[in-house]
Amino acid sequence: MRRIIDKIPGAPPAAACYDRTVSRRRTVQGSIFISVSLLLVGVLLAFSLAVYDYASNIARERFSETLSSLSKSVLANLESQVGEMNRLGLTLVYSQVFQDLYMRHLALPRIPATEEELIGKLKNTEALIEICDTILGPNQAAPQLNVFDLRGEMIGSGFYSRIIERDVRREPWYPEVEAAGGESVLLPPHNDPLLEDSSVIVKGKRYISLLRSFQDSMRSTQGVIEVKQYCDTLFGELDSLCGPSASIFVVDSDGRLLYPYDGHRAAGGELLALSRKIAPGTIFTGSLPGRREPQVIAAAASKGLGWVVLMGEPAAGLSTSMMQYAVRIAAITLGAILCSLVASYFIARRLTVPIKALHAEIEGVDIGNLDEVSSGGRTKAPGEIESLRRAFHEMRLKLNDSIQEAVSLRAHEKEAQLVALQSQMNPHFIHNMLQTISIMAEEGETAPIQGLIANLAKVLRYASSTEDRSATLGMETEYASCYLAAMRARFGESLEFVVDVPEGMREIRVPRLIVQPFIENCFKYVTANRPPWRIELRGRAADGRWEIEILDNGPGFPPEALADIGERMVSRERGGAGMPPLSISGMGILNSYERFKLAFGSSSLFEIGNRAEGGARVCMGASNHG
Amino acid sequence: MADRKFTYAVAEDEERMRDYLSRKVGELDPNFHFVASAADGEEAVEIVERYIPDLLVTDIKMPVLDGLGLVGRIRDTNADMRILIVSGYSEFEYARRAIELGVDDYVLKPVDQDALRDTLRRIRIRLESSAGLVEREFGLNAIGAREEELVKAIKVFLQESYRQPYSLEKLASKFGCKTAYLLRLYNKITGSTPTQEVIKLRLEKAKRLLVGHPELEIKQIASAVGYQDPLYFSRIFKREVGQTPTGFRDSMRRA
Repeated sequence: MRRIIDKIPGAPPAAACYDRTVSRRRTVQGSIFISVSLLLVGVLLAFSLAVYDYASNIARERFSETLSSLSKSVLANLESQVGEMNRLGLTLVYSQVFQDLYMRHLALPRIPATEEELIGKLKNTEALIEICDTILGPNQAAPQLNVFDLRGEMIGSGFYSRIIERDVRREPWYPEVEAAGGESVLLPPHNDPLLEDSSVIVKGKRYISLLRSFQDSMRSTQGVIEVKQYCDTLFGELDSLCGPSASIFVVDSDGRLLYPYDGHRAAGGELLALSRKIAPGTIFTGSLPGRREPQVIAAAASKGLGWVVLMGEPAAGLSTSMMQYAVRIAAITLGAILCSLVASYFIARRLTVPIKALHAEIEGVDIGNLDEVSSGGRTKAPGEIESLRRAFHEMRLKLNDSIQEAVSLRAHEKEAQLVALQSQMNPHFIHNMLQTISIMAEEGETAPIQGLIANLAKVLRYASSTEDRSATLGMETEYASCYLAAMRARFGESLEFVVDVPEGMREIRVPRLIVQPFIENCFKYVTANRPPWRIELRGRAADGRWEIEILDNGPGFPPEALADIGERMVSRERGGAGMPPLSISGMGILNSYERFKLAFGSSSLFEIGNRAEGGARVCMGASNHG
Repeated sequence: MADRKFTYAVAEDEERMRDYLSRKVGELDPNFHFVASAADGEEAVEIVERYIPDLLVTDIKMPVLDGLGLVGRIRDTNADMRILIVSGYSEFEYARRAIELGVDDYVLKPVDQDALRDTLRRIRIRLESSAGLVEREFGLNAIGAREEELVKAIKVFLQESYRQPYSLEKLASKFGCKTAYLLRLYNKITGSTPTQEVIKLRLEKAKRLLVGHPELEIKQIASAVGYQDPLYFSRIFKREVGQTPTGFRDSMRRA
């Protein structure tokens, strides 16, 4: 890794490189935190907005409902009061007593000529006032009831109970009443100078009058009846019905302002126009006279009366309640967002703490502690990360194994070479060879000497070569043949050897110097017997497998040597460091065994033993494809 | 006794080296006369007992019985025999053991001819100075009827029992005397050795069996005449007769 980086010109050192990458990227915890937070905040905001919208609609609806129903109830109240006034008038007009008295009144001369007539008129007038008072009742349903005749007299009842000269035809409202033809006509609030003077109780009062003409059976107008009611009575409850912030306007169909009646200068026509814009049961935001701030307005119209009630509440009232909603929702949302941030922080932490732990673990790994299994145990990590961690551990152990294997392979290769070199550079071997060459030279065997030297050179070159770590079976066979030929030059006919490895097997790749230790081992044992000594190296391939066999006709492995080798093989296979080799040849055998197992796996064949007919037998084999 | 020749035998498992030493020692010092060579320690014991050479040139690493084992076996019987080791082993341990066993000299392979010549000269001088010492020691200069009777008895015994496993030590203990004495006495009187006598008896019998019983295998014949190892039998046969047992049988049949 470092070597690669070093090769890149100007590359920063590994650590710096790593740090930059980290700082440039967002950490996992950060990403999770940010994305989860954004998601939660978004959802919460959307939810809050929806709730706010819904709630504000409801609030608005409720507000408009309240306002509308309030205005309706105001109107109904007014209608019933006006209806009462109307009833008073009608009751009077249709009572037979009144009709008789009135007819008598009309029959009497306007200005009595005689005393008799005067007394009659007084009595009749008194009776008329009395009947009017009776209609008004003990509770005085209305403060004043006037009956106008068309002759210029008015009979008042109530606070002002007398007959006076008053020409109804000169009253400003008369044409209207005349035009109404018996229907009631309402007069907007006004003062009454007559009443003003009659009693302190009614001082400064304003009145609403209900006027109606009444006809005789010939349908000719006989007079006008006026029912007066205090504006205070009629509209008195309006103020108490609504809060102080509310504004109430009552306008009649002509755009005359009925309420407020105490000197309000509002333009009734505008209010009437405004009321037409407002559908029943809804509210409208606009301005109202006398109010600076925008108002929420509801309207109710009475068909019978032609009156319109406009009720306004400051729009601020609605927005205040909306604002309260909004504030409450905002507070809840904020709280939820905070909670969600905390939650997402912990979620991110919960996810990233194991990742960080894993990271720390990965960082802490070096070649020396690969096999240290971490404290392990169940962590709180989520399943995926836990399995990642486990996978990492397994990878680590596997890596360790393969490093161990590679190191072991390398070490064994070196060991094999060392063993081969030691046995070939062994003074005894060399001295004997030199002795042989010297004798051959003395006997003038030039060609055999050349052959022997060539063989020895090949043997030494092969054993000392560091070029290629793996070899082919052909190379191994060649090496063994050269070695055997060299030995044959020494021992002559005492030594017989057979090298028979089929051509087809020669390309099989095997660890280098794997056969030689067994050939040398043959010499170690076979020469203890009388010649002829026979050494065979045979190869066989069948059924997708190949094997090579090294045989001799010596005394075979001594039982204790076999036991020792077996024990060492088992101990090495268990992964132990292995006992120190007792001898070079023993070391060579174990070394070959191990490298063979490393190269071909545990399924490979490796047998060391003695033949039934005497002599040692070593056999190793594997399948053609690994 | 300036013209007297000393005898020497060679024990060496490598054929080429064996032939070389067998020839070379006589060449380098004409005072030495080659008698026999052996390819392993056991055969070497036999030729030493048979020829009683003045000098044994031996290798260390040999089949069946190695050089040092060989020296241990024959030292007592042949106190005056000179022993020269020619070996590729230069380890101190071998040298030390060789000296303990009374080896005269130690020549390393590859053999330096000048060094070997010098060594042979030193050995010859020692041999010359000790000539006749053993004869005097065992009083072989004056042989009486008693000794002659003993040798006859031995001869008879050997004729009767040559098929049994043979060793000079057992023979000596049977006749109640030291092996060295028995060997020298027998040699003095007969000019031969008990071992040579046994070999002669065994091989004559073998020859008769080879010709007279063609159905017998070499192994059976070897066993019948007292050799447990047929390879060894074949080697002795070839050395003594000049032919392998099979070759002898074939040539006799043809004749």
